[in-house]
Amino acid sequence: MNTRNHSMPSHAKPRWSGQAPAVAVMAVLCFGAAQPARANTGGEMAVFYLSLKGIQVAALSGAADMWKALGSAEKAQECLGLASDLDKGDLANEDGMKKFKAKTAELSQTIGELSEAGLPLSREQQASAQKGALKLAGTTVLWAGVAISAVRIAKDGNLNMLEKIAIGVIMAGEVKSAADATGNLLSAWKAYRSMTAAGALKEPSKELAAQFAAL
Amino acid sequence: MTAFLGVLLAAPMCALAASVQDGAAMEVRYCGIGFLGKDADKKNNYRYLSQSVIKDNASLGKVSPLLLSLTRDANTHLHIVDDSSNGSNYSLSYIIAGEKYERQPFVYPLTHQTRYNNIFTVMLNTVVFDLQQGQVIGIYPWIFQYNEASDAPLADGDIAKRFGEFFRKPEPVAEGEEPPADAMLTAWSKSVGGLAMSFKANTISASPVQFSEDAAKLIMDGGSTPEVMSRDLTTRYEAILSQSLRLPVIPSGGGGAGAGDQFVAAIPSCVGQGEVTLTLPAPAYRFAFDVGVLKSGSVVHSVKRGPDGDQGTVDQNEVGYGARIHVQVSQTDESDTVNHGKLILDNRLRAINAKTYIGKREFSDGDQFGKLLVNFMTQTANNIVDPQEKWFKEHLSAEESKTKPSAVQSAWSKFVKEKLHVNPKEVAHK
Repeated sequence: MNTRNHSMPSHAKPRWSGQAPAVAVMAVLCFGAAQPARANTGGEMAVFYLSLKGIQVAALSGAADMWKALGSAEKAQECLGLASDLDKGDLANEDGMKKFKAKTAELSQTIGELSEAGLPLSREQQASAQKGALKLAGTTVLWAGVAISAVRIAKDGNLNMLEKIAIGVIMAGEVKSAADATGNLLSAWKAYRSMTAAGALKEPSKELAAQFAAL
Repeated sequence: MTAFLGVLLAAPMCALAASVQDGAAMEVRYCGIGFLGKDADKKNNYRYLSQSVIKDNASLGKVSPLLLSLTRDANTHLHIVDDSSNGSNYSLSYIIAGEKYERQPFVYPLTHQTRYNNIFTVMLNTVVFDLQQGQVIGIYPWIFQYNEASDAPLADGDIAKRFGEFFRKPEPVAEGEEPPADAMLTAWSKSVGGLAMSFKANTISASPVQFSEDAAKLIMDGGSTPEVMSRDLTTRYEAILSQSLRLPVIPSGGGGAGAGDQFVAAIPSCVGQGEVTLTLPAPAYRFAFDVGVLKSGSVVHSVKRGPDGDQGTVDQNEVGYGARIHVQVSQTDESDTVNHGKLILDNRLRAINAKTYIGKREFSDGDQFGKLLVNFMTQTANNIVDPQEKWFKEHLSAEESKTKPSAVQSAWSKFVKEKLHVNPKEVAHK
């Protein structure tokens, strides 16, 4: 997310169609008066969005490693490209979070299918996947940053209840999206692990189960 | 597993519970590492490990202290003394009981290139025995399987190297990280960490897995051999039961062995050159897992792609494999030459597993049935330890449509508590 916006820079031209939550939060903060006490809130917001951005960049870099592990240099490059765009902050108004989720979901879906098929990876592929998982593990500190800043904002006495609710709703959506995307990668990593065993097994759909009703 | 060599002899022996005093924890003398079978057959039975871990006494001598040290670190409740002058009647050895290597070609869907699935299996048993009496007290089997892909078929030397590497000292793993998938001894340590050797423990056995005629035909059509699959599955069931119930197993190895059969192993650090021949006692309980029906099926779903379903729809294939299993448990009675004991549990269950994919995949039906059955063995063993009514609701066969799941749950629960004397909570905490 575009954390540069925490003090509503003069050059910012909010493109609301792009659903830029950081800009929306800043709008809430700046609505009313430019109170000096709100600098603290702005600082916490900066920590919040910087941490979220860090999570996105690290997770996308991890996703790139996992795609590379699967043998798809093209998909790995797409993830790195997106990570780079997010890092520059260019995607705050271009639905970067949605793209982030889409990339991780696609990876998780692909690995899940490979895992169900029981197809294993080579040692080199496993090492690359492990590298990706380590990057994911590295986001723990950033998640702590997200949580701490969110709690501080919630306790901020300079914000009235309506402001807190408005900011809370936006932030909760952001956190959920980032958590979903991280969850996709965790699920992908679990699927990687099961590839070295006998492949994942799962319950059948109702339609398929009906074919086995006589068993 | 191919390496279990049960040489038949007829001399029924008493079960562990009857031959030793009750109550006390068992103290054992560490007797080193060895391998099942005769030294002369080593190269035939262990094509790869005979080039590394069990190549000679020096090689065995390197691994032996590592296994002991890992055991002591993982399980502080075991009384293992490392002193040959110790007067304990009982000895403990780690016995390599099998190695297996399979190579399966497959088309990798992302690159459409042919690759190879290299499947490595190692069986490493913990064996407690009475050397003076020449008798096995109990065997705790453990199986490790590891799959690894390669772009080209692996050379013999590379395969042997990989098998040897499984016995390396586990690498330290930072908190929050997971050990490498091929860290065999890390996984083994966890298993040994749960061992509890007690004079009160019942011994158990898995009867050789049997297939109905129709099921055997499907297995053959799927590219496997029923005899080989039966042997593999029986060995798996022994290990799964032993691990789940924390009880020692008297192996039948798929060959129909029983009380009085011989257990032949080479353990140089314990008995010098040559082999030690021990007698297997009769198990207190036998567990049967017979396959009555095997069936496969498929269905095509139209599914949305993308996290928000905004990338259009595609056809998704779902294939399923199912089986009807006849699970029986009987209390052994060697004097009962007709029924060989009293039947305690007798239920028919159904197992179904599915996998979904987009595009084209190739599956070996034989492999898929094998995976299904091993997976269901684990579920069955878990429900022997801690029976769940919900599981029986889902898995009782259509042939038992009039049986109440709660009644089955109650019967299984009674068996594990009153006969096996296994407390699910205790087992879960070990």
